[in-house]
Amino acid sequence: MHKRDNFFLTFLIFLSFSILFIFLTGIFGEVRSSLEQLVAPVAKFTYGSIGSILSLPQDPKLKELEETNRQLNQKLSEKKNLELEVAALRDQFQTTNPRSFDLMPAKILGSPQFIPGVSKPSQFILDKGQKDGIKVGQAVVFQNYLVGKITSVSKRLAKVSLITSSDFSFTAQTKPEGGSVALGVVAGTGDGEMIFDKVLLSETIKASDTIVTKGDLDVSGLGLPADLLIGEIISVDKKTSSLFQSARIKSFLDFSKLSFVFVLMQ
Amino acid sequence: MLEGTVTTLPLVSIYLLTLFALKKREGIFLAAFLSGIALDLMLVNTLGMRSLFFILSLFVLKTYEKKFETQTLPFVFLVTFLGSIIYFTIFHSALAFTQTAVSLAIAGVIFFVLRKSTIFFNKREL
Repeated sequence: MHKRDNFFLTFLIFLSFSILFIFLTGIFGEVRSSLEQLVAPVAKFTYGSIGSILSLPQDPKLKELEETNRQLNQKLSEKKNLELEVAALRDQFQTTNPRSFDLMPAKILGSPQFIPGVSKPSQFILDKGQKDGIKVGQAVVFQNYLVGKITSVSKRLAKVSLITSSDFSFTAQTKPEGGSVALGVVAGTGDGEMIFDKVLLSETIKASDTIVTKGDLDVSGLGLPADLLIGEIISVDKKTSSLFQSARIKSFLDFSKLSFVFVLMQ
Repeated sequence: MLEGTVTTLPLVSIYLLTLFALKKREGIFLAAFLSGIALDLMLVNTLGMRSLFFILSLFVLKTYEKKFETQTLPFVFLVTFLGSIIYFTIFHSALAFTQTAVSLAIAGVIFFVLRKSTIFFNKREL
C-alpha cells in the first residue's frame, strides 16, 4: 500500500513537471485554449454568483437609472472620439503636402513603454495593417509634420517608430530660406528630442531654424517624402576642431497627445 | 472556484494541506493535481505550476508525517504558514503577511470543521 502510494505520488510529480515543461514551451497553445473554454463557464458562473451575493439588494428604478447613465456615458465617449477623428481629418484635408488622397487615417491603439511623466513615446501601435495595404517603410504623418515610419506590420496592426526614437535616423535639411540649406542627418535621442548631426562647419544653422525632410523615397514609393516638417533647432553645438556641427531639435508635435495619424500610401 | 475568480488567498492549498494532515488518503494527491490544473486555467498561468506546488507540498507533508503529530492545530498552523509564505513568494501576491494571517484563521476553521465531521461520521458508523 505504502509502495503504491509512493508510486502514485511520484507519477503525479512527474506528470506535473511534464505538463509544466510542455506548456512553458508554448507548443500546445491550441490545447490550452480548448481547456480554457471548458473552464471559462465555471469561472464566469462563480464570478457572477459571488457578485450577486455580495451586491446589496437595490431599488429596480435606481438600477435602471444607473444602466441608462452608463449607456449615455458610453455614447458621450463615442461622440467625443468621433469629434476628434473628424477634426483630425478636417485638418489633414486642408493640408496641401502631403496630398490627402495619398493618406490612410489610422487610430493610435497604444504606445508601448510610454509611461506619462516618466518616459516619452517612442513607438505607436496603429489599428491598420496588411489588410489595409500598410507596408514596412511607409511614412506616418500628422498634417504636414513627420511622425515616424512603419517598422513592422501584422494583418490588422502596424508598429510605428517615432522620429524621436533612438533607432530612427534619416537625412534632413534646414527649411530653404534665402536660398541656402544645411544638410545633415536627424537621429532620435529616445528622450523626446532629436539630434541634427553631420552638418558641415561651413553651413550656417541657428536656434529656431526649421528642419524638414530631404526625402528618401524609393522606386516603389516607400520612404520619407521631401519637405515634411520635423521640428525646430533649440541649440547648436559647433566646435572649430570638429569636422561637423550638430544641433538639438524639438518636434513641433506633442506625440503623447496624438490620437490619430495618417499613413502615406504611395 | 473562489480562488480562481475573486480572491488571491490560497484556499485550495490550505484545504489540501489540512485535509492531508487529518486524513492521509491517496485521493488527495489526485485532487491536488486536478485542482492545480483547473486553477492555472482560470488564472491564465503556466499550466502545471500550481499542480506541482500542491503535490510537492503534500509530498513534504507526507515525508514528515511520521516525525510529527500531524493531527494537531499547531502542526496545521505551521504547515499553513510555511505553505502560504512559499505560495505568495512563487505566485507574486501583494500583502503576503496579511494574507498569510487570514490563511491561518481559515486553516483553523477548516481544521475544526473537518475534525468535527470526522468524529460525527465515525460515531454514525459505530
